[in-house]
Amino acid sequence: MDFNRRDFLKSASIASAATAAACTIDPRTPIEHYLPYVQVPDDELPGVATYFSTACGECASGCGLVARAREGRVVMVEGNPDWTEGHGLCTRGHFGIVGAYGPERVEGPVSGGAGLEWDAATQKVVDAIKAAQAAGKQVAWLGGYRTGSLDTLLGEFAGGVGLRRVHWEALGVETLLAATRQAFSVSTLPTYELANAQVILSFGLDFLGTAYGAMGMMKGWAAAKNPANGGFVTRLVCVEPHIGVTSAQSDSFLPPNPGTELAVALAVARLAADKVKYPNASLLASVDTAAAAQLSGIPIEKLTEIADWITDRPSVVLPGGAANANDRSTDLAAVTFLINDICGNIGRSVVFGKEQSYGTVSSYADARALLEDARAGKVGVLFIDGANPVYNFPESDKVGEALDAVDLLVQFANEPDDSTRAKALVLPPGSSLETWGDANVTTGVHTLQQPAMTPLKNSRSVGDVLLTLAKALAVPDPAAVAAAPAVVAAGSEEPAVIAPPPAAAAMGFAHDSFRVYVQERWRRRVYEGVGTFDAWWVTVRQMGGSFRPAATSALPLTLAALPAMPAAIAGNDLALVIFPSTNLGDGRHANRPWAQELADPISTTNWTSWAELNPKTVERLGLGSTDSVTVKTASGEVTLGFFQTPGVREDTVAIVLGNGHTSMGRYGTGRGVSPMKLVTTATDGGSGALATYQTRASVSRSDATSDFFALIGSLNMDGRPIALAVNAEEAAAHPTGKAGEIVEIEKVPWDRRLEENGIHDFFPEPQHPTYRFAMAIDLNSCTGCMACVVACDLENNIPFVGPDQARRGRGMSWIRMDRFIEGEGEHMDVRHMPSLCQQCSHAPCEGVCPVLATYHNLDGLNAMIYNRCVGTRYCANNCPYTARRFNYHTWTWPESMFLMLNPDVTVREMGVMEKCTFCVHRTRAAKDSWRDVRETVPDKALVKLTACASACPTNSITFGNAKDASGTVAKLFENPRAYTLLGELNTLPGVRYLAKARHHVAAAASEATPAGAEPVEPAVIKEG
Amino acid sequence: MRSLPGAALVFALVTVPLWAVTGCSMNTVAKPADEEIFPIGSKNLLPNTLVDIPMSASPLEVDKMTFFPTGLSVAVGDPPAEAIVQPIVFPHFMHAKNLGMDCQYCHSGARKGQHAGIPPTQVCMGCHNVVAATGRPELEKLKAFWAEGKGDPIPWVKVHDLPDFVYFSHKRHVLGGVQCQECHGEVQDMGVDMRVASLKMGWCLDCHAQHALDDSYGTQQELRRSELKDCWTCHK
Repeated sequence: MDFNRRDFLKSASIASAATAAACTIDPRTPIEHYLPYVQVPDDELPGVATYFSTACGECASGCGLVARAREGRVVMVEGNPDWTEGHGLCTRGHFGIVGAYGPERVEGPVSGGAGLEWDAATQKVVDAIKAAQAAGKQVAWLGGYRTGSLDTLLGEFAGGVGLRRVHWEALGVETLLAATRQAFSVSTLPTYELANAQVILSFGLDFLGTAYGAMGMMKGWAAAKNPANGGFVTRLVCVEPHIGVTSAQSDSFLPPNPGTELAVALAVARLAADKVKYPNASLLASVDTAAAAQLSGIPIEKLTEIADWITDRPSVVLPGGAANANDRSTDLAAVTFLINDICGNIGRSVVFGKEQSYGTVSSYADARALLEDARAGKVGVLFIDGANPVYNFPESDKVGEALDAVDLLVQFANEPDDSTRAKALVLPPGSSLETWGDANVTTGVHTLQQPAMTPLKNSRSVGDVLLTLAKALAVPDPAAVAAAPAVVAAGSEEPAVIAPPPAAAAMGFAHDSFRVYVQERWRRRVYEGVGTFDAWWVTVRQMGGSFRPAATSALPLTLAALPAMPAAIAGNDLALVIFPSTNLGDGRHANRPWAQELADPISTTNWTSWAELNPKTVERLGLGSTDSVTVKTASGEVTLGFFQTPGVREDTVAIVLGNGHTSMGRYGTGRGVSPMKLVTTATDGGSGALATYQTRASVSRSDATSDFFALIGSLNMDGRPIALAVNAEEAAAHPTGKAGEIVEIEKVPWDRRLEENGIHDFFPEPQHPTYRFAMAIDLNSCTGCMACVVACDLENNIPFVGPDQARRGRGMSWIRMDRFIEGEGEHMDVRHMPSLCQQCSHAPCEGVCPVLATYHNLDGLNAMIYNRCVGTRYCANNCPYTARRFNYHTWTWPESMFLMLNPDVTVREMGVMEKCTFCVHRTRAAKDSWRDVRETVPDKALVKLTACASACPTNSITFGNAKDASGTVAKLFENPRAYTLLGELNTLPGVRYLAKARHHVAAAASEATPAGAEPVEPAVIKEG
Repeated sequence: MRSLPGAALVFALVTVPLWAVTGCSMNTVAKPADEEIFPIGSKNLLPNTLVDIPMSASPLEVDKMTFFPTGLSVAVGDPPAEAIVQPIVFPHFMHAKNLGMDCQYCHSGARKGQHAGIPPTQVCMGCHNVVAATGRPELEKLKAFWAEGKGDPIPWVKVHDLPDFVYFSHKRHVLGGVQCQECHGEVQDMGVDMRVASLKMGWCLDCHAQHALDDSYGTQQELRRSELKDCWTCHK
C-alpha cells in the first residue's frame, strides 16, 4: 500500500482540521499580541538575560547569588562566582525564587483578614506602639537572625523605642556561641577551614547540610576529599546518633549511647592530651577514659584510635549540631574547642579573625521568656520577622495562645504561615529578589542584596517600614547625637582622603528609603576610602558585595574548668532525635512545591515526614513495610510512616523536622507530622537552647496507613558495580594518572577475536567534529545534597507532580539522586550518585524511536525533539540508565509561577518524553556568543555551564568539551578513579563518574585480576 | 509549545504599574484537597469545547483530538488576513523607504539578540514629538498610547509568530549576512506589515541547506552546513 507516514499525518491533520472547524475551534495559528515597553528600562533587551549580583535571603548565612532576569522577571538563581566561596548554591538557596512567585503571597498589608493601605497599616503600628508605651507594656521583636544594615537599623530603632529584641532560629547557633564564650571569651563563632584537615571529627554538626555557613564548609570538605589537593583524602569521623546528609559521608560512624557524646569528647580530649603532652593537662586530669568508654559504649581502643587520628595529622573537631541538641550541648561544644586546642588546630583549621557573627543571637529560653510575657499580657506590640514560632517551638509551649494575647501582632511575612493569627497585621516585606538589603556574617565579607525585579506585590521591605515607623514616632535620631562624620559628597571626583568613620557612628533614621540607608551604611562602614565612593559602589553592585575577608588569627583557649561527665540515661524508652530536612530546612521551605517534591537524600521520600528506625527495632515491633508507627512522649504523640535504616541506633528513633504544618499554604499544610509535638521544653544548661535530643519516646505499631514511600526502591546495589568506591589511600597515591589504574574505565566483554581485530562496535562511533559535550561527576565529593536536582528543575521548567503521582513513579526530575546504603555499623557506606541522561554515543534509546524524535547530534548530545515525539515510550524502556521521563499529564503550575518559567526551554505537555539535555539552551547560547568571534567555546566558559554544574556546592560536577584534550573534563576522564556507568553495555556515555574514595574500602591492587580471566567487577563494595 | 504567557504577557506586566492596591483577603480557608492542588486529568490545555467531540466523528478524528494537544501539532493554516488588525496603521514604506530609515533603527535587537523587538513607544515619540499629530488620526492614536510615558503598551498583532518550541535568533542571521527582506519580504514597500514567507520548517530548512555561507567559515563550510541541519539548532 502506497501510504507512507507523511501521508498518514497529512490526512490526520486534514481530518482534524475538519473536526476542529465543526467544533468551532480555529486550527490556524492563533492571533497573539506583542506588547512592547512604553519606556524601556536601561539595558533591557527582550530575549537577552540580565544578571544581578545579589545575596541569598533564604537563611542568615548571606551567600552570594546571581539572579538571572528575563524581560524583567527573575527566572533563575545561581551562586555568585565572585563571592568568597565561589560557585555553587545550596539546595535551599534555590527556593528563594520559588517563594517570590508563590501563589499565596499576600497582595499588600492585611489586618485581621482585610486588606488595607500601607499608610493605614503603619499608622496602626505607630498607634499601637504609642499605646503600649503609655500603658507600660513591652514592644518586642521576635525574628530570625539579621546582620548588616537591618541589624544596625533595628539596633538603633530598638534603642529609641525600647524594643525588646529576640532573634531565635530553630537550627540556630546559640549553643555554639555560648561555647565560644566559655572557651575563648568572645561572642563570635570561629570559621572552620576544612580544606587542609586530613581528619574531621564531627559531633553532629550538619556542615554539609543545614548548618550556618555550610557553603564554606562544603567547599572546604570537597577540597579535603580531593586527592589532587595535597595528596590526601580526608577521613570523616562522625559521633552522632543518626545518619544524615553529613554523617552519610563518614568513614567512621560511631553513634554512642544516647546522650553520651560528651563522654566521648572528654575521653578523646584526655587521650589526645596524653599523647601530645598537652601543657594544660591538669585540666583533664579528672577524666576517666575507661568510664567514658563504658558509658558511651564505644570501646577504649576505638577512642584511642580517634585520638591518634586527630593528633597525627592536621585535623579539625567540629562541635555538636542539631542532631546532638541535648542538655549538655554547650559543654560538648566547649570540649570540642579544647580538643582542637590540644591538636593545635586553633588558628589552623579553627580560625578567628575572619570569624562569623549572626548579629543578635537569642536562645530558646530568651524567646520563651518573651512569649511568657506575651501570654501574661505584658507585650503591647510584637513584631515577627523571619520566624515561625508556632511551628518551631515545642507544641506544649502553646505559642499561638501567647501570640493571641498580644495587643497588636505585626508579622512581616509574604505568605501566611502557622504563626499568622486571625487578628494579626501582616506586612509583606517582599521577596529578597525584590528588595534592598545586605548581609555581613564573616568579618570583612559583605554581600549586597539588590533587587533583581520590580516587586510583584504591594510590599515594603522591613527596613523601609522601620524607617517609616521611626519617623512617625519621632524616635530621637542617634545620628544627631553622635556627630555625623564628614564624607565626600556623592559624585565628587576628588579622591576620598577621609578615614572611614568608627563603626560605632550612628546611622540615624533620616534616610529616604532603606536603599539609601544601605548605601549610606556601606559608605560609612564598608567603603575603605580608595577611589571615589560612586565608582566603588558601582563595582560593589557588579560584584555583589565587598569580599575582603579579614586575616585569620588564633585565640588563646580560656576554658577554665572542664565540664563533668554526663550521666547515663536510665529507662527503656527510645531516644528521640529530631533532625532537619535537607530540603525544607527548619520548615520554612514547606510551601515550596519544588522543595517538597525533592526526594530526601537518605530516605528518598518526598511530600511527607517519616521516622527512621533500625531494622532490629522494626523486627522487634513486628512492623510491615506499609505499616506506620506511633511515637509517644511525655508531651504528645504522632503517627507516621517509617524508614528502615541501619543509620540509626536500635535504641533511637529519628524524626525529620520540616513538615507537619497546620497552616503553610497549599503545598505545606497538613503534610506529614511535626516532631515538635513530641518535644519537651528541656533546655541546654549552658545556653538555654532547646534540648530536643533530651526527649525519650516509646514507639508502637499503628493501624494507620503509612504515606512513606521510598522513591529509590532498593536500599543497596545488590552487588552490582554502580556507584563505585575505592580505597582512600590508593586514591590519595594516584591523584592524577592514567584511566583504569584504580577502577576499570568500562567493562566490555567482547569476543576475543573481535577484540584482537580492534572491532568494538557494530556501528562506527558518531562523528563529533567540534564538540563532544561531556560531564565528569566526582562521586568522592558528591554529598547527595540535591542542589543539582533542584537547579535542573528550575532551569528546565520541570514540573512538580505531587505526592500521589510521585508515588506512581511519575516524578519528572531529570536528575535522579540514587542512594545506596552498603553495610552497617561503623563502616556503613552511603553512596550517592546523580543519575542523568548519559548522552551516549551508542544510545539505546535512539534506534528504537519510530519517529526519529531522538537522535545523536554533532555535539555528542542525545537530542530530544519534543514536538516530534508521539509518546511511544520505547526510548524510556530501552534506556539502561532510566534517564527518561514521560509526561503522563500536562502538569500545571499556579499562574503566578508561570513568570518563573525559563523562556529558553520549551514547556512540555502530556504525551511527550523528556530528559536531560545537558542544558542545550546554555550550550547553544555559549556557542552563539563565541561564534561572534569565530572561536569554539573555550574550556573556562564550559566547566560550570550547565545548571547542575553551576549549582553544585562541592564542585563535583564538571562540564566541558571532551574533544578539547587540555580541557578540564578530558583530564578528569583520564583520572584513575574515572569509570563509565554500565560500561559493559558499550553505550559510550558522555558522562564519566569518579569513584568515591573511602578509608574502609579494600584496595583494588590487592585483588589483581588473573590474566585471561573474565574481567571482574571492580572491587568496591567490600568492607575492610 | 503550550500557550503560556510568554514575552508578551511579561512585557505587559513590566510596563503596567504593579502597585494597584487591591483589597485582599487572607487565605484562611481550609486547605483544598490534593486533587485540587495537583489537578490532573483536566491538565490537557485544549479548550473545553474540544472535549465535546461530535458523535459522528470518525475514530481517526477522535484519536487526533485526544492525543495531539494543540501545542504539539503545527497549526494547519494562517490566521485570516482580516483578523490581523493593527492598533495603528503603521506605514513601513514611509519610514523605511521615503525617510530611508534603517530597519534596525527601530528593531534594534536584531543584531544583538534573539528578538528583533518592536520599538518601545518611547522610540516612536523620539521623532513624533516634533511631528505634528493634529488631523492625523494614526498619530493621535500614537500620542494616546504614549500619554506622556504613562500609557499602555501598543497591542501590536504578531505577524511573524514562531511556535514556542522553536529557537530563532535574529542576531545569528543578521550577523551571518541574511538580509531582513529574505524572510520578511520587501517591507519597505508595505504599509502594515504582512507575512510573505510560510515560516514552516521546510522553508527554514531550504535556506539552511542552500543559503550561501559567509566566507569566514573557510574549510568549515561543510561542517557548518551540517550544523545548520541539526534539529537542535532550532528546536528547543
